Amino acid sequence: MIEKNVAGSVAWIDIPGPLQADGERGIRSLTDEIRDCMVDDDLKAVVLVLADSVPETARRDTMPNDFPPVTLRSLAGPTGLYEVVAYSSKPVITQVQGTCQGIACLLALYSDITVAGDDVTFHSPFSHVADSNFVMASLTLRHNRAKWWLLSGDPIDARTAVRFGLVQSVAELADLRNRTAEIAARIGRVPSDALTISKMNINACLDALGVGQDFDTSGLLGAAREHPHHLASKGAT
Amino acid sequence: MTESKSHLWNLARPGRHIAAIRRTNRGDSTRLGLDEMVALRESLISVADDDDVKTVVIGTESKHFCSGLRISDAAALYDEAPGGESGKYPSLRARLWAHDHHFWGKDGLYTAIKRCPKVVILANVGNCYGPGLFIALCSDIVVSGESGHFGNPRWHHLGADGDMMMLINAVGLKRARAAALLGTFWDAQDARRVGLIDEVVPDRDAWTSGVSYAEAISGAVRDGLAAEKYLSIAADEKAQVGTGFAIATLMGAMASNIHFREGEFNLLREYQRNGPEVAVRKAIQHFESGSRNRDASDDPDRAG
Repeated sequence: MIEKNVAGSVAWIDIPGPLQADGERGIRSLTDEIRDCMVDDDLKAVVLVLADSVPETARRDTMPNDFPPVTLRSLAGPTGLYEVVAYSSKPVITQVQGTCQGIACLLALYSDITVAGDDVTFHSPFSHVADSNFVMASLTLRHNRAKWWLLSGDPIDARTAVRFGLVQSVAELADLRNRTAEIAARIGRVPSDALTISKMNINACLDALGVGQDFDTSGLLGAAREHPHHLASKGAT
Repeated sequence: MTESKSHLWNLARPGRHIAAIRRTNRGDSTRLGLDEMVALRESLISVADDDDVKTVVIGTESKHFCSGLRISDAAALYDEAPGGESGKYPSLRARLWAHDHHFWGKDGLYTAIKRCPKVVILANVGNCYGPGLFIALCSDIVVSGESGHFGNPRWHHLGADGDMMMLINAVGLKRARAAALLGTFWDAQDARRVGLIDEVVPDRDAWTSGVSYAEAISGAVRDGLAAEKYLSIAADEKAQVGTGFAIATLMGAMASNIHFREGEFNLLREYQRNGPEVAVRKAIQHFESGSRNRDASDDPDRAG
């Protein structure tokens, strides 16, 4: 499903459909692709081009019937997709548009730079994804706004996303790819050692600020929600 | 703290409980030198020990508060460090010592500002780059003239070699990432909007606004102010700022040993071969080419 191309020192990974369309295999394939980019010394940045989401969930019990199941470990485990992006050793840029929710929204939140189409709406990942990292949301949006997003479930449009600091750039749809390419090229002009220093600094700060702990905690929450006891009682109010 | 005037800073007492530390006007020379950072730190220590002082205002008589670290001092930083005189490249221990001693450690300038028991107010005008940005982040209140421009140009060339923790706490994680990876700057209005500074005023009013803040705050009792300051210091530690400073020491030492690959713009080599002005101009051309960012060629300090 995913397609990777390299332009100069930037890897572009296009994900044309819902991230879970290929289930566990698709998520692991994407994770492996990102991880490979991190050890490719010729690359300086990775761009994840995320398509307009369809309603996504990350739990097997509420998965649309045509989506294969995805394990919690492949998403929220220590070597899962989320942490590979959040703690990447090279800058990760996410390009998003339209409806951005579930896993796609989390990747936008966890990545270094997000470029959004002007039609984007970010739907709160906390509504459906128990293993969402609230500390990242709090550090990005600030605490009160993150709580509002968590509790209200209201979507964030493009203009608000810029104001809240969720995205760094918004472009008209027709210009979106060019805008992303510009930003990627700008990063590509930074010396490799300089990028490494910046990312190490940022990642060390994330660790100290409790991001890693929240990945562990939210992973437990996700696991608890998947527990058969929970599944049996999910009809209770 | 007694009033004094040196070639570096003017120290004054505009009010009984207010100390003012203002950079002297040196025309176009608006980069901050190590000597100035040491003098500023010593002045702050003097302020901290003065029971009469409740607030301290830091500012400048020049058009810009700080256009970055004086480029010649970026190398001289290691000369006095133990192990700094060894050969062409300073030892790692010299690099670590220098960044700890001058900036981030217990005797560093930024620690002196952050842990000052008096309320610290920065009245900025113009460029607030590099050390200026860190002084702004460590200050309690920042008022800026409309010309204010905040950022850290060297990060684009050498990596984020300073504290990121305070920046993340101030402006949010993604904006901090953009500053480190894209070389983002904020003008005064943007800086206020994102929470980096507290107020924007006309340039001519920046200093007097800073002093006005100091006057207002100085109306509070000393014990109350001291309690609030120590509470904010404790809050900084909860927000892992001390950890950020320790990380910055390591990153600063590592960044000073940066290697450039073929095809990458080597700012340090350009500086050694052609001097700072040419190096800065070429740096701007390299990074702004093909970018939609505003043309920075008229601002030679933008490169770092």
